[in-house]
Amino acid sequence: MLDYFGNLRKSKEEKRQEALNAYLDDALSPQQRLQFEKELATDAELQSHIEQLRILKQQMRQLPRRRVPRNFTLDPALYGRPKREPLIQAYPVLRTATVLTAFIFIFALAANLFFGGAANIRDGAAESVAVMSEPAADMAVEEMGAAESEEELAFELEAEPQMTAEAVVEEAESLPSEIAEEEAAAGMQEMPEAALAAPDLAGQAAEAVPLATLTADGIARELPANQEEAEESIEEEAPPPAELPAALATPTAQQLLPLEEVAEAPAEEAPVTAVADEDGRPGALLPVGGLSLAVLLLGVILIVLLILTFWARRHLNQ
Amino acid sequence: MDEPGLIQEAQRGDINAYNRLVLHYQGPVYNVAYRIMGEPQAAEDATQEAFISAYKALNRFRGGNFKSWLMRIATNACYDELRRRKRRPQSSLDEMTEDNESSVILHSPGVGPEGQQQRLEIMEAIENCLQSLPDDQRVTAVLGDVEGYDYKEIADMTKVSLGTVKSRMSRARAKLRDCLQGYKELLPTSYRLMGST
Repeated sequence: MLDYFGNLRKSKEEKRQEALNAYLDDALSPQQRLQFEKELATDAELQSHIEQLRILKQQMRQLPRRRVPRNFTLDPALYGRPKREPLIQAYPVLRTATVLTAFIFIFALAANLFFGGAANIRDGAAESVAVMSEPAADMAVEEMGAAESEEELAFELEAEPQMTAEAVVEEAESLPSEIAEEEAAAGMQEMPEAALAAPDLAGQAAEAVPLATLTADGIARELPANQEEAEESIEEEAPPPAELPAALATPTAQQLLPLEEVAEAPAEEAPVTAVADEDGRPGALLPVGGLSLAVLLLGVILIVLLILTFWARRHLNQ
Repeated sequence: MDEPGLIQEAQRGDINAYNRLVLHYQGPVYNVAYRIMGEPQAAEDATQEAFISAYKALNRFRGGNFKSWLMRIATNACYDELRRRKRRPQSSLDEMTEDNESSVILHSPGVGPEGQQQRLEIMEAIENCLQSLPDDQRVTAVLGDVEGYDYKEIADMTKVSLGTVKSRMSRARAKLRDCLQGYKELLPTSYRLMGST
């Protein structure tokens, strides 16, 4: 662009001189060169000018080389530097990372203080229900081990997913006792899957209580007259919970846990930990003394980064 | 010489590797500096400054032609030295007389003592004319005609456009030609004849 405006200011003679020199230095495009050579063929003055410049260029090129008066090597004592350690080389990155982490930490802390408090109070009850405490699960396992009465069986049916319960009952009605035994065992094996597929109850605890109650009521009404026989056969043939593998026992116990007991479980007994959210993703963070786990984690990272940065800087200055 | 290897070593802080590069390139760098500066002492200062600057900036070298990169730094060092000397002129008789013939390497096989002397005078005339050029034109002429770099390389070294290089080269040669008319008797016959037309 500047060349274009510069060319506008140049006289015709200047442009001609530039083209002449560019021709001499082989800096013309093929098209420009062809055009210039046509002009050169008919212009004797131009030819002599070119020849003169060619001689000048030749003379310049033959200027004698000067002997180097001394060596220009650098003194290792003045300019030698030890090979930098990787951490020192990473100092700029560490510094940037520290600043960024500090900003994120401050932002997260402020957000936690301003918004976290109110949310914690509002969600406190739901979260306390949502957290499936291990002591409660253990209690349910013990109860299941001792459960032989019809009342407990009814609770079991209430807690089981509707489809599983209905399938087990229907199949128990229609199949002979041997097949019912197999199906019952299969039904028990499916329960962990149902337990895993079931939402974590974190956000749906309040909704789950009436739903579960309605389902249980519906099942109770729809049970046929020979329900008792079927239930007894299931209970007799199903392996005792104590014999189940731990992987099966725990979710089953969670499923069998009476909702009333869960609701009544004291909040302080629930361990402060990260639990899966409604979609089964881990990461919903529970409050720890007013600060979320993320803020605490950021704080720790920030401290580590600060230490590394100061260490790298100190060694860099040495 | 394993130039890429030495550059990598030097980039990691190995001063000895860098000094090997210095020894290899100090001749071309000093000669460019001498033609631009016109004085041995100033050329020395500019050359030393160029190698120090290059060492400090070595981590910014991202491959390519190391000599061109070094020449760019040398050219900048010369510009800096020229500006510094213009602010504080320090030409002295010592410096003028220091530029003796003993530092010039002349290799002209088949040329007798008389021819050698004439050639020396021609070179002196050209060098004098070079020094009469404005700095920008002199740098362009030195890089192009003395050192043999093409326009694109000169544009890269001096950080100007290709058009500016063409323009500077054209003006520099025109001035040199005019200047050399004062040394007609030293120039080749062909040059003299054409110059008189």
